[in-house]
Amino acid sequence: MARYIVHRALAAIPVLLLTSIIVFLLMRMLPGDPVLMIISQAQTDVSAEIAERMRQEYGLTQPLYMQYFAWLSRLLSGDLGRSIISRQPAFDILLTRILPTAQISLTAWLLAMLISVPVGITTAASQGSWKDWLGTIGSLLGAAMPYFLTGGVLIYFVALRWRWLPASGYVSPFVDPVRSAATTILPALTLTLWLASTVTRQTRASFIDVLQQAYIRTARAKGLSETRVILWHALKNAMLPVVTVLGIQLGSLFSGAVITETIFAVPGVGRLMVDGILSRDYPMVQAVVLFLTLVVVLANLLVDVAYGVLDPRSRTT
Amino acid sequence: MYPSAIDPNLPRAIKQPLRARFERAMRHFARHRLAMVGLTLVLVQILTAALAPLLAPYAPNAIDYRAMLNGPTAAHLLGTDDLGRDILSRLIYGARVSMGVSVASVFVAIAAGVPFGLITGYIGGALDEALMRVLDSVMALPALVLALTIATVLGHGVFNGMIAIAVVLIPIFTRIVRGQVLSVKHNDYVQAAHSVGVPTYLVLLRHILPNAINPVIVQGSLAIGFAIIIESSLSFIGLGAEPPTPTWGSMVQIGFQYLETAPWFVLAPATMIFLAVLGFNMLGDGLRDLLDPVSRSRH
Amino acid sequence: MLTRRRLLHAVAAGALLVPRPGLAQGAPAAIKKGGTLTTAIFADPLSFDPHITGNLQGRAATRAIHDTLLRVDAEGRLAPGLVESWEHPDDKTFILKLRANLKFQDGTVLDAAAVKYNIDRIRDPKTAANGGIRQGEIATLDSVEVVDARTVKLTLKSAFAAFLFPFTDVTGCIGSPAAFEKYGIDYGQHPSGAGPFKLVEYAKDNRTVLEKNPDYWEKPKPYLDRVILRPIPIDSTRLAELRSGGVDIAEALPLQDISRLRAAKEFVISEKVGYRWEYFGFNLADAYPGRSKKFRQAFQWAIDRDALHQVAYFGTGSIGYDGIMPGSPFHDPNYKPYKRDMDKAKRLIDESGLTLPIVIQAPLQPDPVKQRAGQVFQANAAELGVKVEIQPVDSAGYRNALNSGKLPIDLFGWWGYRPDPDQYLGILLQSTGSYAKYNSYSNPKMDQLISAERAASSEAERRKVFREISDLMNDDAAYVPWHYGSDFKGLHPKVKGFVHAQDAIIAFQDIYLEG
Repeated sequence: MARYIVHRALAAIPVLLLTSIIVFLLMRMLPGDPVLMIISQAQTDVSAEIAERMRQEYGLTQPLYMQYFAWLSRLLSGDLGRSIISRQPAFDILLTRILPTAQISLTAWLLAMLISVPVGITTAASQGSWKDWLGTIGSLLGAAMPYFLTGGVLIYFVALRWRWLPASGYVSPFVDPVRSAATTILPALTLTLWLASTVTRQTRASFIDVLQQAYIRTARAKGLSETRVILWHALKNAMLPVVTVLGIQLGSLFSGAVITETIFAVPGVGRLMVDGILSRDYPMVQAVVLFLTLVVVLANLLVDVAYGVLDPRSRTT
Repeated sequence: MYPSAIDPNLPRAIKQPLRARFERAMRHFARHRLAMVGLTLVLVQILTAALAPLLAPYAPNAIDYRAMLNGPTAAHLLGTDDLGRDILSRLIYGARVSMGVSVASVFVAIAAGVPFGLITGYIGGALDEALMRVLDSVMALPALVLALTIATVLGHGVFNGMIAIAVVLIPIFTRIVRGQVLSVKHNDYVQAAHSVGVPTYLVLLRHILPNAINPVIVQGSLAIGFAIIIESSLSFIGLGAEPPTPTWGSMVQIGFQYLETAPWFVLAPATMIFLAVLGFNMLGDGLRDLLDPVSRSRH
Repeated sequence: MLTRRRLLHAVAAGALLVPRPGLAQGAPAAIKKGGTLTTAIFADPLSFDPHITGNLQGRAATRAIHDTLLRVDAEGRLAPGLVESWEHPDDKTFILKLRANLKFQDGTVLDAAAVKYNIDRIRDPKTAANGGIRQGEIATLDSVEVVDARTVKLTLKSAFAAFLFPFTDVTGCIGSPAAFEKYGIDYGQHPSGAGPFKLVEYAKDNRTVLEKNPDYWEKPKPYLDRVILRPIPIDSTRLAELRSGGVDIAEALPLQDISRLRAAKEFVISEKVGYRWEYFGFNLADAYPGRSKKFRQAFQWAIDRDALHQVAYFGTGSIGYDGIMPGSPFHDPNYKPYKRDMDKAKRLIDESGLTLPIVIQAPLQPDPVKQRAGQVFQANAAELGVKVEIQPVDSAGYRNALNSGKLPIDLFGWWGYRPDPDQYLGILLQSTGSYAKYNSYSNPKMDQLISAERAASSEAERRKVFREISDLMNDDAAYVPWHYGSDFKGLHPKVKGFVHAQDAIIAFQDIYLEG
């Protein structure tokens, strides 16, 4: 197992490199650059010479490959660079933004798991019954709601009309746990709806498959109770694709984070990335993407480890 | 239910003649109520998009300053927007862009992703490894952010938005097909065909592709729903189609500003987006239950 | 005769007697001190370094921390700030006299040397390389001298009566040289000024917390103990926070809600006219239709300013015909040279020498007001046989097109309030101005007029020249003005002492809370 993990960790490095190159190139292909954004924000006269000087200072006048290698070599010595727009170290900014996103995403992820696994199992086990219909319809409706719609509805009713929760902002749980929960519930629920719906559908589908497998019929024929059949035999195998889906959905969670953080004014990583792209803040975007890729790689690794635990057949040491 | 559910490893391609399979599938399909509802929803929206000029009571871009943000009336069944344009007409024409971009992007993604997956899965080796790393990298980036960036590079607007979404979707289909290829590549009948001298492309087309088609169809339907969500999210950020082209996403974005003064403005396009995604998801689920009960989500 | 110089002398001499804007409503007997004010702002300040900070929120917070050398009074004229009086002995010289006993928040002394240090820093190429952007505002400055501990002498390269106006904004913010030396490029996160508040906490995109500076010179201000700034980019969320009590002041209210909010009387809706003016800008380069003067002029007659006023601005603000806004001493409310006349417009198009149909690309950002205005413009242009293709771009894409001179038409054209119109008219109209260069606009007669308004010594003289500038600008029609926008702020009734400044920057030191 340890060897497997090391092997996977090494295999992750080309992915990290590739992603950083792709993003680097994409960012440079975007029209405009950060110096332009700095100048235009002020609506004042800045001469072309001053702008050139700024570009030189930030290394933007060098050939592309040199810029990339400069970034890479700084990275290897532990320096993530400085945000060009706000001039603060990218690492510091990133660090403060991880907590809100993590808090909201993990809450959503946990809630989704808690909802979708039982619902998926119940609907699959009682196919055709009213429980199945309810669960299926519910999950279909939930999966058809884009994040911005769910968020909009929640803000409109919960924050505006009923005034139960604040419409925006974020407070760290280390500062005030109660207010922290209040400011993160709505964004988390926004994410939960779509995620839970999608995972429910996956769980149900995979459970249905498994329940039709030969060995399940054998277990039933042997006279084992239905509960035992479900929990013991079916669960382990049905969980495989579910675990994969939960891991895969991490990317979707991030897209959702972008939208929810914008609507609810949460200072998270999703907004940091989009703001960075819109303001052409190259170092900031590179830093965020690096972090993001690390998270995805880690998630995939955890999924594979879970696979190894749940299904001995797929162990590849 | 389906014979191959008993032994998933048995290739379906040689089990029954194509026509009989198709007819049988259709009968099963018709009995699957959810899938039928989904199909109905989808067809209604596609027809709306296609017949827009006939259905829309007004020109979608007809500005009328005196009738801004009016509620639903007999003259304007869904009210007017912030420039006095008829919301119903814009909704109908909006189907063209929202559906068109989503469907087209999935078709492009399939057209590019399937051959990709076939080739790389079959050839294997270092090329396959390298390509999978690239695919992993692309998939590591959040879909919305990637689509946004590509659309910004290409220039925003309907066509480029479609390309951007297609690029985001390609890895999904590449992976599915590659997975299918890998699982049947070493089967006896494939080896047999190869040793008899059947050219590679024929092996791919006749033996491997038919197995891969089913999950592609299922995922394709689901991907259209996903594409609708991305397209409307892009429009929601304000970077979708060129004004004054109506799209459901941009109508929601603008409508959000008038949530309290003119709630109907948001409700109409939001409902359309919802119904479109719902329709394609129902359709996809139905297709999955019928065509591909043993869905491999790994690979 | 009341020359500008005499006027300035008079003001300088009676500096301490100039009415303070903050207590214009009549100072109540007992102003309650203390309390925390939370404001919803629409973007994050990003930096509190006066020479680097760019956006409105950055400037507002930086001014609260540093205070400014000079201020603008209710009539739009120069007023004392950290500088208690000034002289203008000749065309090219200004003598500034600082108040006594000014101290920075880090304890060091604010004297003439500190002022010189700051002005030098603005002009230092090293600052520019690190993001300093204010050199252009004092481009006419030749040298700055320390005369004595409280006196600074500024010598200009050429005559410029309105030279001091930029010192009413961040260019006139004075930071502690010791802090500049100590923090260098990170000064923006550790500012030390002589203003009413000091920075105690900054969390990007979350909140900025300012606390009362007990040593502030303008006693008994500030009244508040703390000011919290919360960046909330979405309009409706900002408003929602105001209504739910999450914030006490909300900036930049959504225009479509103004009439409803006023009717509801739940909050104080404050409007200040002349916050910004809007124009459609043409690119005069040969590659674009804007090269034809008649083509451009046609739009002065073709655009439906009433419709724009109603549709884009929901009837708020007022229709504009030049770049000189209400609130400026040079504004003429009766200047209305154009009325919609499609026949005249069509004739001008015919005479323009361009072949129909004329197609023009218009990259435009997702700003709701400008998107609406752009579509009205599109419809107006269509009546002339001109097809305007609006292309969605993000802010950087638009900027890139503009700055590289490749923007065929600028549907996003606007300029925010400046105490003196020269501060932006120079950039737009003078052939050496950056915007004029982007749009390939150059008119020697206009250059002459700009120099004339700078050299003019009295307000009346400048008014005359500004009128000629407006006439010429409208005739050249490189910029077709169409609106003056107002700034709207929503305040909880307990917020008192608020005076709505034309630059939309809140003077937190004047505010106190009641009840």
